[in-house]
Amino acid sequence: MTRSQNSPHETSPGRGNVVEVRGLVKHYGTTKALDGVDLDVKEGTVVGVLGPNGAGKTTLVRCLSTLVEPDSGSARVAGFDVRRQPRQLRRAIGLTGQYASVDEKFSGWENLYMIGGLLDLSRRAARKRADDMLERFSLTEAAKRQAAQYSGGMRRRLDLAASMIGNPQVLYLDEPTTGLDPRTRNEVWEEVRRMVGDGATVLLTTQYMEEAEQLANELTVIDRGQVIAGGQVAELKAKVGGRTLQIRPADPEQLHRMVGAVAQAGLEGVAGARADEAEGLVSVPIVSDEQLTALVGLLSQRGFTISSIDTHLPSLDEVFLAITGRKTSDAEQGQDQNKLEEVAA
Amino acid sequence: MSAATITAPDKAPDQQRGPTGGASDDVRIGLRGNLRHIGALARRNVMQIKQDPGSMVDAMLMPIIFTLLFVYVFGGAVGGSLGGNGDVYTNYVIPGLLAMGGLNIAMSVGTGINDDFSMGVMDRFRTMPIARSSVLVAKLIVEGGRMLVSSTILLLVAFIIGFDLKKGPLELLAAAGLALAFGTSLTWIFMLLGLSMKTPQAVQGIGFLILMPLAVRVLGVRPDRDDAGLVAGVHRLQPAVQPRGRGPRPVQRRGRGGRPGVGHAGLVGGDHRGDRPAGGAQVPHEDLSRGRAGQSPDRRPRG
Repeated sequence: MTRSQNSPHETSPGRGNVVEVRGLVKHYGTTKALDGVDLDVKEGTVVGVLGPNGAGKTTLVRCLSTLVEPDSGSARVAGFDVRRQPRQLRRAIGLTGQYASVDEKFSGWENLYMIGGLLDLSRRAARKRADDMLERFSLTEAAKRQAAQYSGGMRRRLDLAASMIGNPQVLYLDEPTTGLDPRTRNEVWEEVRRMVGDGATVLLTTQYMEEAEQLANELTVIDRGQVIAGGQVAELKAKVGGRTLQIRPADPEQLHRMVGAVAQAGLEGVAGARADEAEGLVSVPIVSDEQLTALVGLLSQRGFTISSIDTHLPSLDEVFLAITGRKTSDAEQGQDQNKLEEVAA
Repeated sequence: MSAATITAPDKAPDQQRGPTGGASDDVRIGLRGNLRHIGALARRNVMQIKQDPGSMVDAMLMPIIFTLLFVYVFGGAVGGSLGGNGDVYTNYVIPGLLAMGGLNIAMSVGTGINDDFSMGVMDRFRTMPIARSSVLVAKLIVEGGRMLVSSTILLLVAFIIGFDLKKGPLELLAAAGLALAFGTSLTWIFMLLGLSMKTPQAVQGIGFLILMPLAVRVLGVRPDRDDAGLVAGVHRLQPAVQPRGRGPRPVQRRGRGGRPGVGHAGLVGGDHRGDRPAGGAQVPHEDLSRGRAGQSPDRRPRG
């Protein structure tokens, strides 16, 4: 991409990269919040940035939304350089942060109307846009109420609506469901899926593997400011081992016999069955539904009585363990870095 | 939110002006767009006041309470020392309170802006295609409006309790305008404070430390007779004192009303009856010469 190309659409035809990050570095004092991050987001896709607290996710989003200037490296969004063309870049982005960035004292409608005005819409257009967005995010009934009285989910929806008023080319969602209860979280996911269905390009940061799996096409895993893995969600899952099947035998005494049986059967792709004596469980990593079925069949054939079966997605910790062979950065360090980010914010 | 991160991104175009030979390839925000954004943000600030009328209490009650407090608590005593009664002090203190009102509201800007920036909504403004200064300018405009309200109330109270206008209404307006300019210029300092401190409480603490000495000693709510040492020095340097008393003072050298920020009492028509208490002005010089004489008593032929 050359600098003379000012139209974002020329620079990203079809499925070009809307976000291009190369070797991005940002230090806060001696802490390297970003330590050479590369990232691409293709048009119309959702890229998830997965990492523990303090991994640098928020710093990355802040760099890409011109809130923080990177120390070195380059980043282009919609063809605009974060350092050289911040104003043009800001026209192309929408940001929904970890905490809802709406004016709590104002009604939902007032919030959206004001943002329309700041985006150079005429009064009439801003009014219409505010109405439309409230409708779209199912907030019409709450339009005149103070945002302070909204529920957590409504507030995030209003926040999303505010981010979408300018029809941004890229939407950053920085931990959009952190601190929300499961029901509200599903509400937000639903909304994000709908926006993606409408063709939005989304950069999503999250600490939850489940969220990344639900929403993202591609994943980038970062830790301590560095990319440690990346690729399609399916690829990554295969690398990590997909789901874990947890079988609880009715008789805890049978725990080890069950592990033996599974290992002996030699089912393809089923490796590393192990007994968790504390929990009274057998854990078996599986990749496909066929394996699940085959395993259950095998166990009933052998005469085991099963009291419960559960599958669970690998937690972030397990992903890290699988990718790096170590746990996530110890909590203490993560917290320190968080504090630094807060101070900088 | 530190000031560094707020200003950092704005440095970008400047840094790159050098290597690319003067032209930034980023778009600029036109004047009209800028004014429109400032208007929208000012509307937001006005609506904030409307939503929370309590935030106007300081602007509306301070002038009333401070005027009554100073005039009726200190008025008799200080007025007497000025060679008159409480009315003399009323005329002395009102211009001072006019300037102090601006300072007061300027201080509240610091805490307000700190509060604002701790909310996510500032991040949104800062990622929008608007000039970042427009947030501050809008705030400044609305606070200027608050100062006007405050000044108006102060003058109303002043006239009710017997403030005696020695000059015309134009001079009165000029004085109010001067106080407004004084307040708005101070607002920038408190904005900087508000942006660089971590909590509103910290801003308030520091602001109060600045405000109180300035207000009581410097802004002319009390005449400067019995100053000594450092306080007298500070008094000489500060901008809003009334033209009276002794010693070299900018306002005396330039004449009355010679310069903005100095001696607005001249505009409003402060009472000067108490200017030079008998003999008082000469005392320090006598002291000084005595002191010098004391260093070399031998050379002085004496009785």
